[in-house]
Amino acid sequence: MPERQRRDPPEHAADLKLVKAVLADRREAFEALADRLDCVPRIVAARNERIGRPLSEEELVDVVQNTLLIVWRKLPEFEGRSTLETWIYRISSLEIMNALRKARRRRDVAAPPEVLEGVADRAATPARIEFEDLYLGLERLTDEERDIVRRKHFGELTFEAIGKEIGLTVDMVKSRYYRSLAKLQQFLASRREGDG
Amino acid sequence: MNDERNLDELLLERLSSGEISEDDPEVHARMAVSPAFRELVQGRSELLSLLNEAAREEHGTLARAAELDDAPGRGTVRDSLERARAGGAGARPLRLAPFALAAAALMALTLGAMLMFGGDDDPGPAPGPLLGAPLTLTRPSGDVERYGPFEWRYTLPRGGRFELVVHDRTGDVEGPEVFRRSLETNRCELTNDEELALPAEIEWRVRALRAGGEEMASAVTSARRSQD
Repeated sequence: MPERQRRDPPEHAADLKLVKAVLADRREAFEALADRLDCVPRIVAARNERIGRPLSEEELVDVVQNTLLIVWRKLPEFEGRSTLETWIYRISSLEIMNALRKARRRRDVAAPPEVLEGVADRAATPARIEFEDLYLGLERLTDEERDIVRRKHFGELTFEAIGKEIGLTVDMVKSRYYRSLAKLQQFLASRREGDG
Repeated sequence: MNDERNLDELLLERLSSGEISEDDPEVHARMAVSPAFRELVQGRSELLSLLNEAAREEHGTLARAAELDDAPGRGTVRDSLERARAGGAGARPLRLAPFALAAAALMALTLGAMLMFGGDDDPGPAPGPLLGAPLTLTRPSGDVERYGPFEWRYTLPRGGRFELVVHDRTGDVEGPEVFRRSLETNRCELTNDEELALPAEIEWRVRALRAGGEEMASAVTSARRSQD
């Protein structure tokens, strides 16, 4: 079987190099990573803002700390398939959803119903939950399948461009893409059935 | 029946790639005679919209994040990282609510009692995964000469088990399940016959299950056997 040649964009490769240096315990790399991870609180705050500010400042600080901890723990899994910021966005999105669930449970117990309307429920529209399910579904794909779906939809690349970047023929990219869509569709359907 | 299904899948692929649109006469004709195909098209269309919407949301959030000068927790990043670097799972500052403190105290008492009164031949409960530690598949992955043994990392609680399922990944469509085993260890050996029976390309998934069957974690990866 021929060796596959990946040609990731230079910024992805630079981020992977940084992460490898951090994992090799190089202090200057750790400092550089700490600077880059300054994006975590800003991403968390921006996401909270876009979904109607359902989380308080204190809850946001918790999300930031949890996200940083998970990012640190998952660093060995970072493969440079995206920039660090995009990778962190996915982790923080799931953490925000967890925080929303906790906040809703807490307020269910602690707050009268009129407080709940306007705070927690603003973030509980079906579209938000669908996003969460979509991200969970993406996590269930293989690394390669997820990579292809992300490059196609989030990176807006053509099949030809994806093939060149990850070292696969166009037909192989297409077949993996269709298979991934079928898996995602099946996963989302099963989540909906579970809700019903 | 299979021919019809293949026809549906081929048409759906052309639709998903943008080669044809939902207004295409061929799509209309097929939808008119096949409710299953109509449902597939509707589901696929919803999924593609959802993916594009999620992508827009991601781009919008990252753009907005770049504009923000300040955000809650910004002053804690370096400290949190230093703690994570020094202490791993203990890195998160303790901000426990009273009920959590009570639960922690109860847990400490229970553990203390187990240490004091537990028999020498009883090792006590196996530790559970810390902070939802991920299940990591270690081998096989990518191009390999031989699939077996399958190995992964995860700490099961007492009574838990792993479920390993292998699917055929050769070809363009999702292949059938070709191997399944329930195990209590993080390793699955294959006999020569089992190894040879596996196809040239596989996708394998491990699920960690509690004693009651509830899923705690799962992971999936693919591998290709280069000698095939």
